[in-house]
Amino acid sequence: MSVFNAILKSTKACIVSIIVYFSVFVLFGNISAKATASTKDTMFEDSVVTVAITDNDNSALSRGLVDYLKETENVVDPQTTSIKEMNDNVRFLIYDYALIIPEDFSERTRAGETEDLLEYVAPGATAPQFLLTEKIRTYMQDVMVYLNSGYSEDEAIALTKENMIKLSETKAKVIDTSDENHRSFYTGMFTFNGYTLLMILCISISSVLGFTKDTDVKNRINVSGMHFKTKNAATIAAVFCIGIVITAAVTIVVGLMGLSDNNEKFLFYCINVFALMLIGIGMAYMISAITTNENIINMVTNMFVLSMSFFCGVFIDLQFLSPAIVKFAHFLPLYWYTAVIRLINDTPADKILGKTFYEYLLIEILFASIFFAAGLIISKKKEQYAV
Amino acid sequence: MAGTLLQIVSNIIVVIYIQYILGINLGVPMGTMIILCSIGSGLGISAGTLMGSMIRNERLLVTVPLFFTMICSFFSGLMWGQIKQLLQYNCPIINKINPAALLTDAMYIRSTYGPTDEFYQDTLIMCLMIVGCLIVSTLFLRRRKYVSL
Repeated sequence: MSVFNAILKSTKACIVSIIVYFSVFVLFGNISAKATASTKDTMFEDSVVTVAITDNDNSALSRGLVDYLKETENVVDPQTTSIKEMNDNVRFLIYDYALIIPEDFSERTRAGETEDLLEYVAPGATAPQFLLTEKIRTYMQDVMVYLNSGYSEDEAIALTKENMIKLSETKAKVIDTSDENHRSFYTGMFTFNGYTLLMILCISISSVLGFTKDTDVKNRINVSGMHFKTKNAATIAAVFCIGIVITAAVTIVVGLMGLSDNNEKFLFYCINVFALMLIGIGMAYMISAITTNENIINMVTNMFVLSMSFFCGVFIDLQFLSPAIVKFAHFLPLYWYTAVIRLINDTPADKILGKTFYEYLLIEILFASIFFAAGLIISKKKEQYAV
Repeated sequence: MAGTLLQIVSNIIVVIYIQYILGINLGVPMGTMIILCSIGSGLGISAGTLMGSMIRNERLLVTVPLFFTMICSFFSGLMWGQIKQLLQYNCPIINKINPAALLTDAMYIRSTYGPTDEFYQDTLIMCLMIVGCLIVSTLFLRRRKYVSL
């Protein structure tokens, strides 16, 4: 028990790092998960574009257009008159669309001009923004038709608005039976957890294993007359105990934060996290075999885990990564962890346990074994060459 | 100097890899990108030197840089894209003192609007930060007493 207790006590040396990464996970993981979460209730709804309108004309025609857009879209204040700032606001999603009605808008409309009547700023990358441009164009064309047919300005505006609003009231019934179309809070939290849990486990367990390799500690244990099997069993038990406590703490925190989201898939996420724990322990053993210097452990862990997090869909969703990067990511353990999370998110709860789920978990366990084996080989070679 | 040089070389390798091997156009001319990466590397190294010279506790030496980089990265829009623009309206000074925001802003402006006044302003602020960090580090690291030979 003395080896077991000694290892647990040595964890105190890296308690600060554990607390820091834990805080990072709780704070930034929560923000990231809440920002990206979407449920079936909110996923499918009428698309409403946030439009910022600058009306430099202030005529009946321009006011008519603004009134129409207020009925169907979310009209906001542009907060600026600078085109550059509007472009930045659209780029950073403060609003989705910036419409600028120029001073000569009504004169040019009455003169029969149809080209470039309005200016707008939009990334043009989404369907709602494209459709809004088309909607505005259709509105202007309808107004022109009424004006050219002899209707007065007020009548043309009123009739066009009535017709366009009737068109907007068209409803579509969407039958959504697929879980692929939304992302739960747990998915976001557990995805971010891929980075923080690996960091905590690698740093803490590497430091602890490095402690056991300290000459003074090693000599004291050897002098105690403990059988090497007992010593190794105690070391393994202590390491697993530390891993399980940290993983359980993280899982409980996620569970408590997501209490309001009723999700029957929580257990599957937990199974996946414990598979990641094995990867973390394996990696930690390999790193501790390479070095016992805490600064180098920090450096190697940061380098490895951070780059894996970027490649494997933890910080950036896989859909934004090129196919070459995704292919390369298949050789990294964190990819399979996020693959299981995606599988759990996209599959109904009663169909998760299947061949694919077990395959991915097995791959994670194999990675853990590879890291452990690599650590053993490195240790043996170091002993052999007395490095 | 050695650390800065290594950092610059590794950043240039990353940029070349992203631009030419992955084929992702960063939108900034290569020369400007190299200069910005060099300034960013210098800023990181000098900020690290400052923290190292001010902090004596070894444990804090791990936590403070970690928190500092995480917070700077968060407020530069790494984890939540809108935060930088929201800060620009509500508290623009933060974007002018956040090194990560300055670097990302310089790259964004250069790629979207070209070499404007704001781009040069951001670059100048970063250079001033480097100089400031190094001066303060020197004050902390200099000897108080010298042995008489």
